[in-house]
Amino acid sequence: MKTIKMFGKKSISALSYYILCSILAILALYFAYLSLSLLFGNYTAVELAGITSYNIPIAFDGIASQISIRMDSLGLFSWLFYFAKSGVFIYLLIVVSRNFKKSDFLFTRATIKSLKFFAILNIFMPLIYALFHVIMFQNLVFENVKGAFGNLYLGLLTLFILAIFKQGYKIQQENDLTI
Amino acid sequence: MPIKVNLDVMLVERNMKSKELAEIIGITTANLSILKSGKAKAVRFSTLEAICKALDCQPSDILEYTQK
Repeated sequence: MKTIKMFGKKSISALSYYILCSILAILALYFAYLSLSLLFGNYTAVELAGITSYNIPIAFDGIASQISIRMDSLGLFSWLFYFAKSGVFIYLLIVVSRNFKKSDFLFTRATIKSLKFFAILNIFMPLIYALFHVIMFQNLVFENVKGAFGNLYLGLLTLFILAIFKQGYKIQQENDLTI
Repeated sequence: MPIKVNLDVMLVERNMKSKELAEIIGITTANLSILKSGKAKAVRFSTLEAICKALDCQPSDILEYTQK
């Protein structure tokens, strides 16, 4: 049975890399569309309880929908925070999968570095969420940050993988210098 | 590194070039250079055997322990 190629060119890592790049491109286009809609008045203003929201139309496969953005500092900051967080997360995944795709040699300094950044981001995600909520809402409710604990676990898992990669790198270096 | 590789000395004594030795023992000149410079972490017995055979010498002629 032919084994599936996980790393290097024409591998699962390469496929993952291209999929993630596409997702990031779609996210960027979505952000650009919303920004341009706000800029060029492609929205309907709705006022509710003293807060103005802008409803921007979006359509997928003929199904009309709309996204509502609160036009106060809270709404704008939430919107920017969402895109920044998602963008950075996907970008770091792209960097990791690019390093896996680039070479048949798995244990490289670049891979270790990218895994480290990914782990750090995910471990600090609950703290970032908590800070965001404290700054924006002046309170901290567990319900609002509980989603970020999944990131914390992902970060810890990545730390384990990072330790394995560091060990692998050390063994590979020794092997390369064994004549 | 406490283990010193005296390949240069042996190559001069046997009037052989590094490239020639590398070809005979089947390693790259880059790897031979790593060995000569003392940057190698380990040497396989098979490589040591091939070097001794090519240079007609003993391992002690190539490897020296210094207490640095």
